Amino acid sequence: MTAKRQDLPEAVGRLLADRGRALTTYAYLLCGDVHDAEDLLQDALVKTYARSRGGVPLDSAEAYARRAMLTLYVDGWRRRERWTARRHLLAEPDAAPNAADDVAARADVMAALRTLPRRQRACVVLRFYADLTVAEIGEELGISHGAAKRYLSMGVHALEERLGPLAGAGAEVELVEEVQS
Amino acid sequence: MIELGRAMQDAADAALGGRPVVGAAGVVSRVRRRQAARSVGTGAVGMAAVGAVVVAGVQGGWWRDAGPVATPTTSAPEPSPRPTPPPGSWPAVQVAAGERFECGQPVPTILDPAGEADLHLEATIARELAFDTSDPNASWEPPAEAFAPLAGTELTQGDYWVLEVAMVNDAAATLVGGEYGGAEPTGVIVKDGVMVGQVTEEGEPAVAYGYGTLTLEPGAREARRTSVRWTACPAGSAVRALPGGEYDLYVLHSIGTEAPHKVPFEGDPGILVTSIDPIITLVGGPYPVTLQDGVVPSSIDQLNEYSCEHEPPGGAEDVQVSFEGLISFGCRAGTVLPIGWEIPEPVPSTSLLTWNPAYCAESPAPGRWVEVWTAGAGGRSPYFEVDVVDRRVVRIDAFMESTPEGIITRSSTLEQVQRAYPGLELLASAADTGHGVDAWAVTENDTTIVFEIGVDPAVSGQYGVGTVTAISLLAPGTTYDHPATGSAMCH
Repeated sequence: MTAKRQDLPEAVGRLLADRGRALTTYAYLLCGDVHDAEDLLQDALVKTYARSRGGVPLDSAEAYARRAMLTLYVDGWRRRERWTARRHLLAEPDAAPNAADDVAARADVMAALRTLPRRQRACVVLRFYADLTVAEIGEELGISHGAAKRYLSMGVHALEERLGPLAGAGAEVELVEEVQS
Repeated sequence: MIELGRAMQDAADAALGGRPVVGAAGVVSRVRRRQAARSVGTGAVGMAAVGAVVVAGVQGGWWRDAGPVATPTTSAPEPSPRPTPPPGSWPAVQVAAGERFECGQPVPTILDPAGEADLHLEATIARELAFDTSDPNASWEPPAEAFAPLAGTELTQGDYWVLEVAMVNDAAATLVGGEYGGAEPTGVIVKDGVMVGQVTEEGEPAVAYGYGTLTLEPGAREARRTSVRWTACPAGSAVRALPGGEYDLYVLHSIGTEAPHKVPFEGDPGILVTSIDPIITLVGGPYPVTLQDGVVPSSIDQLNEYSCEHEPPGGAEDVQVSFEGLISFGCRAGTVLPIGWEIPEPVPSTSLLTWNPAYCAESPAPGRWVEVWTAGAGGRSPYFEVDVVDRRVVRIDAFMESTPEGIITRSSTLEQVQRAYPGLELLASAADTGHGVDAWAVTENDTTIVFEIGVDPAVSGQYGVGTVTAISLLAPGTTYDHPATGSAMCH
């Protein structure tokens, strides 16, 4: 099924209904702000559907949207600057009651992620959230395998300096040593 | 040891909470705007489809003298018997080969064949209709009678306009090309001979359409419409306003080799698009226009799915206070009343303000600038009030309740305001002033927003003590000398 013009509302609506939360989560982990994430997702969807007059295969739309978000984010995403000036207008929702430790841990993780340069952060999200291999990360970002390794390793090291040891990060740590040696 | 993947998922879940997923309507609306190039051929259109007959009797090259216009027929289609010269050699008003419009650069050389017998562009423009995203067949296109010549038009920045650019063949010849395509018409803004702005570009490849075998009879007129917004250089996804004033606009329409091919889509060669390698760039203008000041486009058009057909320039419920002034989340998304605005003479028709000499007639300084929704009503504005000194807006008091989700507005709680504005400080307490409200303030770039929080139930309104009763915006240098809540307009 393709998103022909007359099917556009249905196609977009269906994608958002089925995968909207997952896409928003992905956007949030990339940009670290709820409103920016929603903005980024919208931009990505517009790029996904506007580019193809022939339609986007529905089963591919999510992948295209993810890639669009990734590229927009890594490329600097100029729209973010405009939102920054308005973000103060938006009231954050009341936080749901949670154990203090959990809240602190989440805050720590997001704060640590925010310290990473965009490419490093993208690599970390792709590796630990999207569960991609280093080779797949390189393909997603359009960079070499070696560059993906380097960004990921640097990102993991920076996170571990703030968060302590990360489960499953051993491979990346080794990569750092490999790069540094 | 932290499991990073799980921690990230938990963090996202906590942050997103019960927030609804972004709506499809906004995406659909924007996609449709991008896909909006349309053919609206008018008059003697000579665009023949691929394979249709090329006008017989072509003599002496690629164009023939005007004479009886042969009627194209599809009964016996024949391909052109020989190659036809490219559009680059047409007698057309065009940008000189090898040159182009560039931001910050002087207008390139424009070739204009002697006399009037040429192929040229003509441009008209109309304000775009409000777009009903709930109706899949809704049109953003204004009716034909709404289009006015571009020259002399007063344009608001931030709004969507429909630009119609027509190729008009006034040459005494039929222009016969090969199989070419065209890009969407576009436009550039020029000040003092230098390009300073252009039509919004959103980073998309040029949308192309096929001409097939291009044939323009004498008198032929082929028009295309596109949805545009004007933006300052450099173009990009960020839409920035230009200072209000007089400008020259040029419209451009490129014809070239249409190249349908798969292009990298965010690194993936999976989507087929077409683009144009220009052979000729037709140019029209300069058209003198006036760009209105003070309307700053912004990204909030993403939230902009409200109809403004019946309550221009946007409903009061769509308006909110920012450090820039009153901004609208409605169909006229953008800053609709900047703080510090020097009200020009004459006042723009789209201004939210009008001078009403009947207001405060008994005060030492009769007359007030009032907002247009209640002008002449004789009472206090339910939405906002302004203090104007020497035609400069120095204070805006807002009383409206904005509807977009998550916006700090009248009825928001102090806790919500504090979360949104971490730098909020108590400016004046009700205990000290006796006004019944605490004034909490936050300042950026010398502009201050004051949130009045009800303390006395008598002035706290329907939302009760502890909620915002009014929001005031103070221009740099303006002192908060009275509360907005409960104050008299003719103070």
